[in-house]
Amino acid sequence: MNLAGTGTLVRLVLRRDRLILPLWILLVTAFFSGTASSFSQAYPTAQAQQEFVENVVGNPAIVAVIGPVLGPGIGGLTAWRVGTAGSMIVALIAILAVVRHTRTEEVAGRQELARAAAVGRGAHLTAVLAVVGTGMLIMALLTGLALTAQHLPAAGAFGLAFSLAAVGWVFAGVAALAAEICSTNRAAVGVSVAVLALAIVLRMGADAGGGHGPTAWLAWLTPTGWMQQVEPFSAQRWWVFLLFLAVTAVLIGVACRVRDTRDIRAGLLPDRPGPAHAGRGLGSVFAVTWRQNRGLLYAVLIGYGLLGLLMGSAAPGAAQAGPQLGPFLAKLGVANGGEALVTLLIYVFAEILAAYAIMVTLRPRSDETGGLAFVLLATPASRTRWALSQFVIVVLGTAAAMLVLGVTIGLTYGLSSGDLAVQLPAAIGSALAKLPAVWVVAAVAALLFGLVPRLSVALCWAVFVLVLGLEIGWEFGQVSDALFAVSPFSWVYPLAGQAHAAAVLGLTAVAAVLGAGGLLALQRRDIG
Amino acid sequence: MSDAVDVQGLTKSFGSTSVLSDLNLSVSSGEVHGFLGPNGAGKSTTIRILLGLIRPTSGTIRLLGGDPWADAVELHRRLAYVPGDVTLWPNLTGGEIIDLLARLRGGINVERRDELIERFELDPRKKARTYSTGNRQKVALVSALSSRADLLILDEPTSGLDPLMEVTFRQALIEEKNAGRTVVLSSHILSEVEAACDRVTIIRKGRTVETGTLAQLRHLTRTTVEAELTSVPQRLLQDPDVFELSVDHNAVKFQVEPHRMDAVLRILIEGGVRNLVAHPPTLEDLFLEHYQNVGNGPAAAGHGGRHAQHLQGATK
Repeated sequence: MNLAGTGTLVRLVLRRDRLILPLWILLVTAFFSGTASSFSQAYPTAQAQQEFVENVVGNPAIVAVIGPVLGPGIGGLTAWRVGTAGSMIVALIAILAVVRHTRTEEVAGRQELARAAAVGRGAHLTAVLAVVGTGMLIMALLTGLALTAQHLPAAGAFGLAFSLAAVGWVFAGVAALAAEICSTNRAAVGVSVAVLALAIVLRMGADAGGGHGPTAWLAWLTPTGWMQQVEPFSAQRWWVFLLFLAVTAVLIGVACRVRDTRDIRAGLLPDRPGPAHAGRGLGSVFAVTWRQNRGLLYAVLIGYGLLGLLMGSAAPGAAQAGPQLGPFLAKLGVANGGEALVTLLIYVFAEILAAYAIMVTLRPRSDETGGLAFVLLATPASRTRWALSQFVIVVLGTAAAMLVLGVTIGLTYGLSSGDLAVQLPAAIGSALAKLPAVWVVAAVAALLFGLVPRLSVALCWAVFVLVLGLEIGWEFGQVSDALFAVSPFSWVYPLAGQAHAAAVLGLTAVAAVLGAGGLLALQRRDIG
Repeated sequence: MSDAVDVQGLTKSFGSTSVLSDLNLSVSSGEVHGFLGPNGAGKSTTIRILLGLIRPTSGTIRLLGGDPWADAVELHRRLAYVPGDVTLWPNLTGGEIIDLLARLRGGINVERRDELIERFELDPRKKARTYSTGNRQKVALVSALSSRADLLILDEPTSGLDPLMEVTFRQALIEEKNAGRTVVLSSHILSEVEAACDRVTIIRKGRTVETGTLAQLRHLTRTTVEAELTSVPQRLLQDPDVFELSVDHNAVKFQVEPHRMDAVLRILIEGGVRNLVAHPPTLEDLFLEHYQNVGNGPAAAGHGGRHAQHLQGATK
């Protein structure tokens, strides 16, 4: 593959990303060292750390979502705490950067412009991989230094930091391949994020049984699992890095291979001709909104279905968890660790579903900036109908996702625990009861889209991060009950003896009012 | 109801930046109206206001007898729009989009659609994502031209078409005109405007600078005269109604207001005319004049300074 011009393109990538690149490197570093220092402040003694670990290990949902604590001391706690979130952030950075400088450039026609100069076929891909790969290394070095400065063992600190960078490499490889295979940047990001989601779900499946259950082997199928297996502060399995490198090399090798044989702008699959006339169903605003949204919804439904099946099958492993669980189970009002896991996972995945709700609600914003809204709204389609069709997708789509999650997790857990008649309806009820909280987040997004369209994207994701932040802070006792009450999810948190009927109605009413406010605001403002 | 579009004193500001100030536009029913102006003059903003997508800051606007902002949906049943930069749903085919828009508008002439798809040589089975700029424009054009709308609003509809397709568009436009449809056509292609438009409105920096039929506009603009004389009469050099005069030995070239033509010809005859060519302003001259010069009133452009300068140059 010809690499002429790579050096210039590296400089182009650096120029275009001159703000975001140092920013993410510093943010990831700060996230790691901040976590380590907050742990050493909150749990200064070995005994306090041990108590914290026992409490955490007692909560099967936290073990499933974040993973088990591997290794002693602040190092082990930091590795545990940042593992999943850190690898997710780093993987997303790698995916977005690689697609942005490969397929997006190609779709926009800019790659054509560059490659008409003396630039080799492989230059774009090589340039961005070089920048992202090096960026990951710098991030790992800084993180390692920052952790060592906090008196963590150097080998562990650098081992942890480099294992995170290695996750970034693997997903840079995943994105490189996806960008070669898919003919649009949206699809390339979608496929890469789906692979990331699968990687995380598999790791959760491995840990749902407390890390030693029947599904523990799943950890070896996923890069986020390998990151845990390095165990930088205890077992120190450095050979796992060979696994990371080998998989990255294979992914990039295949991507180069595809790139060397395909036409510019083409994907692996040729564009097939479609229908010359619209089918009977494609004749309304709702129909076209559905066409825009169905792909993402199917992906979410499949994802939640897999998640439910996996978690439900792994949950019985958590049922045998230790006796220290007693007070915790009483607080939740459940009989054993398995039920606690099911209840809490449904809650956590409802919270994550809010991201999907935001994406769908903000879809009209990208139609507005892209110009599609002008085409649509110049027809008799009213703004209200346009917005309402998105609302319908959000409300029914999130309901379908929670239903799928409730059914799959209830079915598998019910079957494996031999208590289907109780577990299935309980899981479905619990899943659906979380919906109004998701809708409130969506309604806030709708309101922001109506009131401040230009800021809406940034503000909506800030709201999402706030909701997650309040949740995590509250779980670890750093956020008071009163502050946590700001989050709509606090009102549907599964506590023993708490009927959610009032909360469900109240949240639904709040969502309806906010949504109506969004509609009114949209009526009154300029489009564009 | 005789005016399809009636805009008086329209202004629009985005925050502190004023995009439109005192814009007037009136389009009679059944006419093809050219809506012209340099880039950034405010054509697309005006069109978006007519479509009720953005709200005017002040001014009175009537579209097909209604208020474009308040009655947007009702009015949109009676109009079809082709945006300047056509964006389409990337995962739908061209054919699907044409049908979808037709169903949203509530009507399509199926024969006309199939005929136009043929004439524009559009492949309706391709996904919109794979279309070139010109092909996206064809999708929007076929959709608008085959609609049953009373009013067509076309924002630079041929900017991406090849010359052959431009001819096809021009024919289709004349067919629409003969069928009695009202068309607002924003365009930079002067021959297109000249061939099809009954009247034109020229705007500049958000303000209407000229409106009328092409003949009226020509009338307001100077005729260019080139002549070869036996000798150049002194009176010609001093005449205040002779503009942009250049003298090369006995050959002169200048511009003159139409109403002074008679008097200036008499002066030329004094010098002994060997050869004479006079041509009315081309549409291009008309545009250049309005696009380039600062001026608010009709025919205010080009007077004064330049005249004096050229005259000086000529007498040296």
